[in-house]
Amino acid sequence: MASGGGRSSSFKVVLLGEGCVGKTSVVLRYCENKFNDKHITTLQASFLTKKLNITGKRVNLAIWDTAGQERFHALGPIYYRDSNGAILVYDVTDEDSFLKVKNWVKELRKMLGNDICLCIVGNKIDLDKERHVAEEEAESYAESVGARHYHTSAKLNKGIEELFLDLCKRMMETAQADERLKGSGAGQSVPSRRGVQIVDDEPQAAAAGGCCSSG
Amino acid sequence: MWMQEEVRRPHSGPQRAFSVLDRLLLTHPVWLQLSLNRDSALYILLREPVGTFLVRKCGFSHRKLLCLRATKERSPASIRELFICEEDSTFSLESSALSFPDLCRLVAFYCISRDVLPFPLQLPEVIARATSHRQLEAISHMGQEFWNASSPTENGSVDQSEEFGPKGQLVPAVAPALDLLGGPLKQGKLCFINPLFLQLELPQSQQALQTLKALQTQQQQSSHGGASTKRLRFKRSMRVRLSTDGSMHLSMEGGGSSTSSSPSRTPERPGPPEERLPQRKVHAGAGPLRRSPAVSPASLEDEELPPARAPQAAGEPVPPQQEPSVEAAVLGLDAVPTPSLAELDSSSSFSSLDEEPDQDASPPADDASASLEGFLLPPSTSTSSSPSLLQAAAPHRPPLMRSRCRGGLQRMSAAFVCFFAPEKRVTRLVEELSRDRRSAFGAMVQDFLQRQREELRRLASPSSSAGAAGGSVEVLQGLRLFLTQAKSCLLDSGELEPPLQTLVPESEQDLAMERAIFSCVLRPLKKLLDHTLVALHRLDGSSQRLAQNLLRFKGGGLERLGIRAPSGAAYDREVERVRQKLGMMQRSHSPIDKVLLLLQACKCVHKAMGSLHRQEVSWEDFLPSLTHVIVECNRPHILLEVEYMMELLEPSWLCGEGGYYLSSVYASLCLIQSLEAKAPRPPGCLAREAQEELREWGRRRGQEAQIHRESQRIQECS
Repeated sequence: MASGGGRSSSFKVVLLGEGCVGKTSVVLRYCENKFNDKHITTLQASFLTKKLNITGKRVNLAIWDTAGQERFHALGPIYYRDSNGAILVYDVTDEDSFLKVKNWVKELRKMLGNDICLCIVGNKIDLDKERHVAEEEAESYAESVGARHYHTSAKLNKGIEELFLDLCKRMMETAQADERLKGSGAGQSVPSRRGVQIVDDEPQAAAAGGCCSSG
Repeated sequence: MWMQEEVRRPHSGPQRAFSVLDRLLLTHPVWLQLSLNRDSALYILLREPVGTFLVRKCGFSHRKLLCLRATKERSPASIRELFICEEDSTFSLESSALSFPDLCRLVAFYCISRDVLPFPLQLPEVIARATSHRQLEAISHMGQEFWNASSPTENGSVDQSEEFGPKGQLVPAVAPALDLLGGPLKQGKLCFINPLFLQLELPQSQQALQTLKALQTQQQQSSHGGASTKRLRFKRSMRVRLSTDGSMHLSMEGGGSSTSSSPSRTPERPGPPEERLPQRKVHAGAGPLRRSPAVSPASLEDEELPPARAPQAAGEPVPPQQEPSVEAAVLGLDAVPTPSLAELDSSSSFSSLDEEPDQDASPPADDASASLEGFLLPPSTSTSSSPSLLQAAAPHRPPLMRSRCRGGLQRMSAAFVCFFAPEKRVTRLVEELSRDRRSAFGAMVQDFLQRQREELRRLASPSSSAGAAGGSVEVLQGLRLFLTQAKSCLLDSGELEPPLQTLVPESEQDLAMERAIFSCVLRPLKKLLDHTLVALHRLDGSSQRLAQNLLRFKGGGLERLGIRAPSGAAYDREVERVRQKLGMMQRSHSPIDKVLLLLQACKCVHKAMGSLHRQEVSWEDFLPSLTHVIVECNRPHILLEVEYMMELLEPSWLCGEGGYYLSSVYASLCLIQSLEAKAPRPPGCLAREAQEELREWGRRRGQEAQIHRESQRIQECS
């Protein structure tokens, strides 16, 4: 959920991917200051926050990690509900994990529409020699579903900063477009686009521009 | 409103005198001009004498600014603007080491002492000289118009002789001392000051005149208009004194007898010795950001507690007129065992727990007495004026007050209830207002409570079983709707006095408000609401289903989810802790407190995992472990708790850490509920109904979040 206002915005980002692809390491690497906040709990690496300053705007990221095991897949909606962004991580040496990412993309587009900014992340590029997912394939797939593709190595701390920064900018753009939409007098007719799409069973029906406004 | 009975100082006779703080609190519509832009502020202040001030909000940074006319030149350069920092529940001036529990106290302090300012702030004369509540109220009603009224003149007859009697020894100029305090220690806030009961009095001695000579000259030069003579007299009379009884002791000294209309009148003898006893007016907790200042006895009515000296100072009378050293001041501050916020919080952060079981409004005093037990004196001592008695009653404690008796707090000026964490003060004020049917907010809340009680009783009665499916969610939705409405009603009506902006830093306002509203609405309904929710869940069968599955899996069976059954003493201990947290959760009315307990419970789960694996635990194991612990705890009530939180928490909470772990517990419950013994589903698959429910919930709360954001945006624009 994005909460606006002139001064700071908050975004929710959900982290999805199979168990062993290193999604937790990616986010841990990013949020090194994870225990600096005055939060009540300092649990390990499942809910993390990050504060950013992007072109003078303060941004708070709330990053929701999820259990990667397939058997918990059905619980996904509880976690990705109302997210502004999703980071879908696969292991470049594991083709199966890339297929899992594709499943997540389908599900997210179906449930949340185009409202959510998707990042597909090929992790473990330090193991490039053992790569099993072709770079071009992954990138063209990402493009075809309106997602961005990134390469990272949590181990070498490569590409991670860029990934989150880019995601933030995109989420801010989406939120601003949202604001403009409402500002143009369409406010009343779009109580919640996200909500509309959640109940919609047609994959892309409501997703055309994510807009059902009359204005 | 609530100031009326409370502002009188014990020794000031039948007439009431107002402290600087009182005056500020009552007239905030005049000096608190948050919507004013820079030009308008300049325009106003350039017509006012040096020392006049306003608080406005910077249009660019949205931070509050103290604007002060600093020199007599009629140019924009003569207006100084200082940012007010709002951090860690305190207010402070930029570059100052002193921080305050709220804005009014900050301003009150700077009316007395200059600290980082070139000189102390000046209240507009009419405000400084008003002698009755009515006068101050009349001034307050003028709001911004006050500044447009040409030369502010006496509002009704001001009879000084009735108001100000001779009293107190003078110790000149605490201001420089505090200035020193602030000077070399800029790194962090040095101390936290609560300038209770700063008192305005008229000039009493020649010393007073001399001390502020410079100020006087300045004022004479800049004075204008007919009211200036009297205004002069007041300004010249500013005195500060510092007692070393562990509390800083500031007051403006002077005598305003009717014979003293001339500025050059002869000094009078100081008051009789017993009146010279230092009064605790300002309590300054030592150490960075001590946030739980004592309430001084002076803040109470005579019958509550007489003026008393701090016990630790009783044996060492301070020679009057001694120039206090900074060290003495600091040592004195340190000597006061102020309860720290941590202490307060540890005993009272879940103040919603031990509430009256009765559904009718329980007075907050009970809550307060519970929370503050150990810090407060028994009421019996309050009738005694002897410091030794106070000492005997609480040898190691500061002379705070105790309000064991019902309504004790209400009799005290609400604004002075400052030993609570700031947001608790907001709760107190809002609760008080919510019980006052004369206010729009109070009427709204009371009417709703009445209707809601009838509705809940109707729903809970066995005869109303028709169409009750999903009833619990509807009840909670109705409540959330009202909570939101009541909140905006309160903010729009401006009935909260002093205004929220002055009570808590901006970043904490939402939370403080949310807690306050929960307390007004959910606390009185707690018992009935619990009863009704249980009844509704019994009707739709969800409680039984969960209870059955919990029992079923307690004997094993979670292996199908890949959850292995752990064991061991350390593990059992954490499970027991979680069980306790869940029990406490059930006793609280506040969704926020519930979620905090839930976070603690999740922490225990993590510990349990650690004890199990003896190594870095990965998140992958958290959900299975949580599920296992929930099964072990075997408390089906958790279903109601989760629903309660998910429906009543403000949408923004649902995206934070609390929301995250709440979601995890919800996910665990979904797992447990969806596992059927007979027809095994692929593991982890949610029952169809569960999925539907989830979508419906997501849609609804998503809409609310949208509406919430919308309204926030509007609020910010306005």
